Amino acid sequence: MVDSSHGTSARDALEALLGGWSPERAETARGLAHAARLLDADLMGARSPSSAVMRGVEPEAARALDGASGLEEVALHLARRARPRTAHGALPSPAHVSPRAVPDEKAQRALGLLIASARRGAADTGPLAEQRWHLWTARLARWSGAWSAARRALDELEAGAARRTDPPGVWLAAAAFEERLALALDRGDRRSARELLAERPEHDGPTGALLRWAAGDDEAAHRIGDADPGDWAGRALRGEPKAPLLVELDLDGAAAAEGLERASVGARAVVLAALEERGGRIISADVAPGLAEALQPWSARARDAHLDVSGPLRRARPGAQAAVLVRGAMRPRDGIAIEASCLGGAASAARAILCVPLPGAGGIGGWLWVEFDHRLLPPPCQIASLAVAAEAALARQRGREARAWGSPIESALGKLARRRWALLTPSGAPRGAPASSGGAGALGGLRDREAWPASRALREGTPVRYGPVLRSRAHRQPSDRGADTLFERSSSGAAIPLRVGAVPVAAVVVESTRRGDARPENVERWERGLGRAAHEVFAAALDERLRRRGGFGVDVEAPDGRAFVEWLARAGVASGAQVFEIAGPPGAGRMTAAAALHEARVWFGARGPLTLVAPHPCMSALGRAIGRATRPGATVVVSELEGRSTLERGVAERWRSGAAEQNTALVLITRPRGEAGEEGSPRANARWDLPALEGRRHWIPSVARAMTRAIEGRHVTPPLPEAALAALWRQRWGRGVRGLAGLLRSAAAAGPITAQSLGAAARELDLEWRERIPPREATVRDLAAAAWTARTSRGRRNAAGAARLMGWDPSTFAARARAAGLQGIEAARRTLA
Amino acid sequence: MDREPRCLHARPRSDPAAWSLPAGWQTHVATRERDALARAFAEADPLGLRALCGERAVARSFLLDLDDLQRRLIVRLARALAADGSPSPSIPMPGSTHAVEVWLRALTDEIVDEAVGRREERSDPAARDVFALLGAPLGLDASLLREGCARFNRAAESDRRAYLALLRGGCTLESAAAREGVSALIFAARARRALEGLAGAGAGAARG
Repeated sequence: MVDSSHGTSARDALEALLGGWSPERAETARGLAHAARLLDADLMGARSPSSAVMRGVEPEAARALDGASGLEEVALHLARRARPRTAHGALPSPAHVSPRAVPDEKAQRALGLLIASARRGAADTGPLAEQRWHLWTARLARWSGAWSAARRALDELEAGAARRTDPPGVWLAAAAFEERLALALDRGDRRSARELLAERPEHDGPTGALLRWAAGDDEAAHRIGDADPGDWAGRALRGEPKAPLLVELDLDGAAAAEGLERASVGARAVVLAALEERGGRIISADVAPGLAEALQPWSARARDAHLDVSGPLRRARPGAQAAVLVRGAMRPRDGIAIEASCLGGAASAARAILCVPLPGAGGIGGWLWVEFDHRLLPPPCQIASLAVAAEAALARQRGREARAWGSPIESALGKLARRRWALLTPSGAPRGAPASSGGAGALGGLRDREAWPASRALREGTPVRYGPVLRSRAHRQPSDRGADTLFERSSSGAAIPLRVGAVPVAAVVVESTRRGDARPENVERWERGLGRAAHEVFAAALDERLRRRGGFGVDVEAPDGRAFVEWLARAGVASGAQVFEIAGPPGAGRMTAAAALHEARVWFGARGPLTLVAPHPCMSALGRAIGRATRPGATVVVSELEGRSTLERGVAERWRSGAAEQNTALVLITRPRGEAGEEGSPRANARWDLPALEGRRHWIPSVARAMTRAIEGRHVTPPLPEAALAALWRQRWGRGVRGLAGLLRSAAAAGPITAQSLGAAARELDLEWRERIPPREATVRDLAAAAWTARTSRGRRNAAGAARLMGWDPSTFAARARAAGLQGIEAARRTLA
Repeated sequence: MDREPRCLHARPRSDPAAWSLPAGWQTHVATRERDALARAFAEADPLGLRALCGERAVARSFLLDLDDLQRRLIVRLARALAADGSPSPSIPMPGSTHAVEVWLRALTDEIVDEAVGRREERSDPAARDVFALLGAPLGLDASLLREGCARFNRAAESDRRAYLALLRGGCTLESAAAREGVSALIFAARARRALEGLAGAGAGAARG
């Protein structure tokens, strides 16, 4: 520690200074001087940490902390509640965990009051304290969207801070600058933020660092630190272990964007792909010229990209959640996924990818794929606008495609030379494409504004005949000319309500270029035909929307099929805060039924997402999760509340009190009544009991066909052979529809589905596979289901077919059916109903 | 803000304890838990706070317990970072590295001043502080050394500087006096006054 070369001269100097001192005093002074020299050397060579330091740090720290809390600590607590999730800017964490939680909705107001009182008190303390509260005023104003108030507070703060050169003043000025950056980012004004930052290259606060990093400066990453930037992109960037990769976007109420141009979001590529049965299809693409050639190979790769577990398509879930992938040292997995999936590949990888799933039939109807050369992702509101534009483009595309459920309407209307029809939902949009041109080639586009007959038919529940022929010349207005029919150049028409049970689910508008086609007798005939087809049309419409989920497949002819469709229609049309209950054993298809209920609500105009809330034994935690999922038009499904009637009641009550003003639905998935010893959910508006799949074998063909349609797009072609259906029909299905779906998927992966491939797949999956239902195990319901499933197209009994399903010979089946009293199809229907 | 850097740069080049913030220092002050901060600073000293304390004490020619200074600085810094409220609580938030260095030096100077002005005796005589550690091998009572250093620190800065310049060696009396711009006689008188302060009036009686 002490340099000995200097020792001699130091000793000489000391001896010179000690001249004239008494020997004892000089001796003491020498000792002290030596000790002092060691002490000085210790101070000069203060590079190594001392073990002595730890002693006493903690008690001293504890003493120092006692008087240190203050209003600002309280403000930090409130701010954590009051700050919107999408706000930018770093915020220090409070030093202590507050024992008292403030409800989110009250936090902003409490913070406002605190700031106001603190500012009054700080005015006496000094200008610095007052300016600190200006900073808080600016923050609060920014969080509540009052941009100009925030700017005014910042102006005041900066004017005060500019006059100070002491360290606190410098801090304050820097904090104000951070706040200004966050304000610009919150407003979506990235250009201003970058210009501000360019003016102050020396600034290295976390928001500035985030902005620099986002603009491509990889070195800035370490300066972001652990400060909480608060915004969604920041969370993704920092790679918090608990941070969700999926970002919720509120699509409701967002303004429609003008288009999907990449310039509007500063992206290098914006691609809209529609998901169809046999893969995705690009509907619109705006990519940088350098990437134009990459689009074709990319689309080929992207078709199966949803199979890649870590890829963006798998991370984007239905229900308006977007996947955000950002390449950087902090997120190596994102980097790998981006290189594997982006347009340019690894050679020209994007810096960030945004993948927005778009709602459609069966959950996801398409994807919006946006690639960036930088990490400066657009704010959530802009992404929402983009998604709305993409959704509109997708809907336009779909509108041009024929509906699968047009054929029941076609056959119900019968042949008529010059008629055309359209199906209008209660929300007013034309849902059907013209099914017949009548050979005249005179059909124009559908016109939404002429939907009055349909509205009236839906309102009154009776057919409405109309057309220029019904108006006298005296009453006709000039504006009426050619403007009172749905199709162009129609001369007669009728709107016929399509009723499922008592609920008008749609109106079919039939028009003709001939004046006499909407005669009362014709309309009456159409009404009868459509009345028979209504259940099928509604079920097929829901089925089409649910196809991607697989396994809906309602058999409306089944004894309990019509009742289920009617229940869906009643549930779908109900408005306000509704609580539904779907009861059944696991694997009965309860989630699919809940999804069907959601689609029924969408049919009747609900525009919210379908959200599954994981069960939580804590009432308040569950309540919070449900609260987060609740938004106008949403359907929130809470599963696995089996046997917890108190919880069910609590959830239902909270739902009613919290969501009564919105058109929302809560679906409780429960066990069958009696099994859990409960009386069901007493608060539910409506309840549907789903028996186990084994107990309703007559559903297996339609469910299996629907599932096969969902998976066949990638593997094999339909239809399922009869032998395969029969083989599926007679199994136990302990795992219900999940087991059925798993087996079909496994068999389809090996090739076309046959009875043999199903058997092989079952052996591979180690499932029990039986060639026949043991006669001793067969129940009356099994016999009735076999008789019903195997009935002829005219509704007659087919004992041979039924015996094939059971795996028996016809005489055994006939004897057992006779013994069970199942003499005809009607008896089977009654048993199953 | 312009003045202070000049003052800092005016320190003698031979000063071995020149301190600056290490690269990536922001990551070490990111937490807001005071106890955690204090522990982190004490265990690994990622910011070089010990060197900073040494630098400030040497620059101002004080004889102080470095451990004590470092401990106090840690507590104060953890408190300022974590609880003093915005903006000062958020060192990593605003400001450039240079501004942080300036602020930390000012904070350390405050602590040095407090340490110099403190007159209370240690309540725990058995505590092995630096005075006890250094005094024992030299046969000096810890309290004698502690009081001597306290008296030394209360002497005029020119006296302290003169004494330490001689004590540190490496230069003659004349050359050290020439650097200060005074005669050797005056310089020696200053150093002697400081030594008298260090030794005290009754030093001989306390020997042992």
